[in-house]
Amino acid sequence: MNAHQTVGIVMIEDDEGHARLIEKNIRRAGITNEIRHFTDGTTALEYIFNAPEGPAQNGPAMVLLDLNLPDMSGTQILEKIKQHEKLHRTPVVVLTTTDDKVEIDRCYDLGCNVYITKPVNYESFADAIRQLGLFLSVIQVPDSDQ
Amino acid sequence: MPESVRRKYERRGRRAVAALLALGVVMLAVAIVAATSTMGSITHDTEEVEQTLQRQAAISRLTTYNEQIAAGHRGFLIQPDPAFTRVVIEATSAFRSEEEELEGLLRGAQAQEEKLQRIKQLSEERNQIIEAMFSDPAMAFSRARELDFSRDRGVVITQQIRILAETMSKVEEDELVRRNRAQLASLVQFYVVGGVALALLVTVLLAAVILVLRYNRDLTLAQRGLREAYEGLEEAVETRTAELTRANQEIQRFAYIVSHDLRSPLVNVLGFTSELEEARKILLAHLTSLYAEHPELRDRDALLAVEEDLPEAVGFIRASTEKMDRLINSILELSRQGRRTLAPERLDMSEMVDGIAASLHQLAEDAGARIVVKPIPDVESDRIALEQILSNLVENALKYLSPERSGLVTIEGHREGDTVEIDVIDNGRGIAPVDHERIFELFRRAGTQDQAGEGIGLANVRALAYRLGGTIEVKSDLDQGARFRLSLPAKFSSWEAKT
Repeated sequence: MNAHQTVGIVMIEDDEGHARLIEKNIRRAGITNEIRHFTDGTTALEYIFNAPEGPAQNGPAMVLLDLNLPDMSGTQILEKIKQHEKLHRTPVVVLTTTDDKVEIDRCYDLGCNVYITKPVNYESFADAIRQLGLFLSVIQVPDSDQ
Repeated sequence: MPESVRRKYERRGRRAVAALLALGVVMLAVAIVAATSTMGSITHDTEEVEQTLQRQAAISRLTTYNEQIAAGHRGFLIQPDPAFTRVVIEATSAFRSEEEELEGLLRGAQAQEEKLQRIKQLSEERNQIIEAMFSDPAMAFSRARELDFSRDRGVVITQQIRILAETMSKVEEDELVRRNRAQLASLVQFYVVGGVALALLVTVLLAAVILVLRYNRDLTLAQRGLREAYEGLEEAVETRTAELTRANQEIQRFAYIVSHDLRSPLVNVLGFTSELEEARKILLAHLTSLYAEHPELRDRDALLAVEEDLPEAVGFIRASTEKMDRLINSILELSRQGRRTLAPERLDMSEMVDGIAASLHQLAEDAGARIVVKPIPDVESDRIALEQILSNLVENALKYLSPERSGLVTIEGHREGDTVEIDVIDNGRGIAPVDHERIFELFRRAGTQDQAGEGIGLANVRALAYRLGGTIEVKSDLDQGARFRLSLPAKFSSWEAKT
């Protein structure tokens, strides 16, 4: 395992504005990891599982996932990642507007690591992202069979 | 079929049957009377026929005795034998008794009686002749030889009696024929009257039976129709309920999706508003330091824009967006409430309301108000929904108190048939009657707007009350306090669950 390999952040978010705000706040939190942004589920899955530089081929990564995507539900992506033999330990942070308890529970059941509700209140949103930064700095990227 | 029509039909049917049966009874009575009278007439005829026969027999016997007397008389004249004397005496006595009997039988028939009287006279005359003959036979013989036998008085009398008797017999014979005919006529009349009455009776009964049968058939048909209509109605209600449930679910889903998707852009509006604010701060800091170093560059408008105009604009954008977010959240919440499956259970209402009062204790204390909980009957309903309704009502009561008096909120309940009515009564500032409908509408509020709120609470209360199969209504006037009455079925059964 290459300990110096940087953790890539895969952001799957169909709203450009949200993506921009998330990125800004991540950067503001002092996180400099590379962020790859996808606006739909299909290309994101293609990158994660099949791209040579993607997490499945070229580990380690972290996924920021929006549940409302134009072509599929984020929970499907979550399920696929968590069922994949190499990727099932990849941290997945669900970032979405829904604070529906049933949906949150379902995400945790599927193996989601953190669930963040995108608050309209900007301060708490920035706060959440900063906490995510803290989270990112302390997580141990798990071993992958490389 | 409508009730009035059915009743009319029934009445008409009953009337017809009753009329027919009455007619039948009359027919029967007529038949009986006719039969009785005919029977009487037949008996009478029979008696008369018998009487006539007796008369005939008597006349015939009379004739026989007449001949015997004549024969005895003649025989004596030829040969005075005491045997002839005896024959004549016996025959004469029998003749007399026959005469008596015939007289009795002929009573009422005048012509015959007259003839009988004539016979009697003749017979008396002859008796004298015969007696004279017996007392002086020699005289009688000599006279008999002198006279032509055919001119003998006795012989003439016998002939006359014979003729008279024959005439009488003939009359009686005619009478017999006549009476036989009458008897026959009576019998014919009896059969005709009886037959006609019987036929009419049978007809009437048949008509009644047919009428009753037809009426029964119509009744059965009507019942079947009614049953079919009822079943159709059930089906229609089920279909309609299913449609309504579907429509309701569709609306809930729609509300959920819409509010959910409305939030996404709001995140951007607010997020980038904050970015603007951040940028403004940087600009302001930059301008401030720039002007400090180079006062000659100082531009009042630029500073004003950054210091006042931009924060004002950003403030309005933020406030409005936050309000919109709250509204969307409320819709989302309502839609979530609407989608929640209700779980009815037996609820100790007094305990529940005590709990609500306890949880709102701090709020009540801050408002200087008192909450009084009176006994409330138990209901079988959904706990969460009921708790939401009641705590919302109590909270409202505490929220809109009158500054002029210390607040008092009373919660009480009673059972009214299958319904439990729970009242939340306050002595607060009240609601003008014109606003009574409005306060239950989403995002609508009434009265002085001095309290925070989005106009969600009562809309939610009403939606929940409806879902629980109940209603909510308010009685109030400005500054007169308010009484919110929640009417619930004592036992909740979900029409949503049935589909």
